[in-house]
Amino acid sequence: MIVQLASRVVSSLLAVIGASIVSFLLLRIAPSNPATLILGQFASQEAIDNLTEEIGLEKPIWTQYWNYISGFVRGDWGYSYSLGTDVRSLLGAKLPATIELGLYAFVFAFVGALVLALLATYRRRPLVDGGVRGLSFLGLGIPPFWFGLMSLVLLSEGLGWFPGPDGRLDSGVAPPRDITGLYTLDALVTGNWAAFGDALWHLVLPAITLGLAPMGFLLRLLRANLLDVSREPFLLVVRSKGISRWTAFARHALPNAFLPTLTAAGLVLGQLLAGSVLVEKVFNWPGAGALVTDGILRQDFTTVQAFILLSAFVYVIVNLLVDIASAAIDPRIRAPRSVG
Amino acid sequence: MSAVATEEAKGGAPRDDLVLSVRDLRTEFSSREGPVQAVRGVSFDLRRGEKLAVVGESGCGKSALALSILGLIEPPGRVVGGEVRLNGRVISGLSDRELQAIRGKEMSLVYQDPLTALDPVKTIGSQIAEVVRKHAPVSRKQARARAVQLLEEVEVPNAARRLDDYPHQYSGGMRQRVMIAIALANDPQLLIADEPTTALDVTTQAQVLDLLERLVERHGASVILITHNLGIVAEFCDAVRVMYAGRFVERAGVHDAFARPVHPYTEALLASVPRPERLQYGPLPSIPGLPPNLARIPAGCTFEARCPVGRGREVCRTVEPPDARVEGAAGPVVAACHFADERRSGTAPA
Repeated sequence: MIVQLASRVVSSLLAVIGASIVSFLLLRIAPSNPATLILGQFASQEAIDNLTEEIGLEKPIWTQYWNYISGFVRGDWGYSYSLGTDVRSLLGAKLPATIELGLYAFVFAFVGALVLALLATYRRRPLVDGGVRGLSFLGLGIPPFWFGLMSLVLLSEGLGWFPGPDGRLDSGVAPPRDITGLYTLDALVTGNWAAFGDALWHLVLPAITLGLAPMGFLLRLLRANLLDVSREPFLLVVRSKGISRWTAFARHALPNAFLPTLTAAGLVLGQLLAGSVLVEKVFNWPGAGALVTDGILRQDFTTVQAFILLSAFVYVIVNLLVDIASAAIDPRIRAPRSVG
Repeated sequence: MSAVATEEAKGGAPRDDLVLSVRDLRTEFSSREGPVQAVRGVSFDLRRGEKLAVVGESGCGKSALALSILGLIEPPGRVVGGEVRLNGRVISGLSDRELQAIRGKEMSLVYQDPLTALDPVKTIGSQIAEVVRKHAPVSRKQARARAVQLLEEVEVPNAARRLDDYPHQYSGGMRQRVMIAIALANDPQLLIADEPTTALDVTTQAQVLDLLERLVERHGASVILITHNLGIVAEFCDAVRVMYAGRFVERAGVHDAFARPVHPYTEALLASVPRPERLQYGPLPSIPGLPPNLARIPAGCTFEARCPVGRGREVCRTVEPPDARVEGAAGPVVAACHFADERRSGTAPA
């Protein structure tokens, strides 16, 4: 078990290093000289040469990589010339919004998928099952930005149930004291109920919009797995002991059906935490999405690079957690050799 | 042995020593072709301590019969008629909640495939304790102690240490022992064993069966053994019910069923048992054709198309044979064949 865990941690680290190399190289291949970009096309050759030397562009690429990575680990994530700020404070200001939205979208996707999959398979009612399957196809098929716009038109403009696209809080509500940057969490910790309610209310529509497609995906998977497991003889045996249908489902079917879904859920969580530019745009969400796309358009790659590296890191951490959770559920993963 | 057979036919009143009494049980599964009649009017009695075999090919309705008695037929299946009486009380038509108090306590199931019959992500101990705690107000610790005791009883070595193992750490035979421990945990009066040894190798089969026989005796359970393995029937059971296309086509004591089968299907079934001394003479005999589609039960005898006796006779094709009672060597035999009498007296038309 310990050996397995250690080997997973090592391979996770290798994955992060690999991702950092690839992202670094890809952005170096882009056909532009950063020094020219920073100084503008009318800069003198001398000025360009000076800057090239100053930021180390003439050094071998591996040295550049090493400088970048060692700086990154020390907390120096580079400097955005187009925005005139260091990348760390830029992302630090925007990432919490993206992460908070991603977490809520994930909770919506996961809980929604779980409840609907149980509903579809628990009693095997064809009508309910058909409805749930239709819902999963809709979730997968509807373009999120369109759904976001429609939800705003209907539920915000039309019925006024939810706030409009005005970011994370109403303009009249002060953000809670900054601890994690996740407004709902900070508000909860500081007991700031007004900010908590408002932040939560602002999260509903964006989180559903962002979580809809992953919900459809997880729902399909979990439904199929639950159906498979519900045909397993061990459930019949559990029922023959006098255990109720619901207990048999919750105690025996669900953990078994969960295993394959867990891996997929990890991927989904990683993806959601990295955010969605379109959904952030629709809801005017002050997340990292716009920062990164602007960085790409302006060829200001320090932000993009830092973002890619952080995303890779999140993916790897989440997958590591998934592996640990799987091992906690399934004894066969903990001890792969079997007797008999 | 099979005096009950007569009473079943008459639908007699339940007697004191009857553990289980089934009358005209009917179970259907809805399908695109219409209702599939898996169990078509099955009646039988099981006395205290009796061991009854239900034999037949795959798909003849044996397992559906077992699940119908347990009240565990799932949609699209449905018990559409008949009565099941356990320990003198009618249990067919009870709500699932009421049946939950009976399952695992008064009646239990040993399932055919021990490899898939246990939850792979729960420990052996917790799966035994589950049935103990369901039916008795005992603490976790007491249930655990009882689980150790049960594992010892089914002769799992190092029971206390192996309690926290998972099913994949047990061999097939050991898992079946665990199944038996679960089934007998609350001393049920009725044990339904659905192909309990099919998935095991021959040596293990014999050991498990031997254990089952001893424990059933000790716990005072009556047994319905569902199987297609006629070898274990002869060894283990008192009486035989041969099931074909959802009905019992022959009911007899174990001696009569083997020595002088009345129904042609029983005879064919016996003839297809591999015998080592005959193997050198060619391929195993088999019954030609397939059982009828249970969604479209033919008029007449369901075995007619495969029968070496009836072959195309008008009466076999058009009239469903009633239960005919003939005298066997060790008691009455009931067979659903138009030629039961002739076959019994050796004058059957060839």
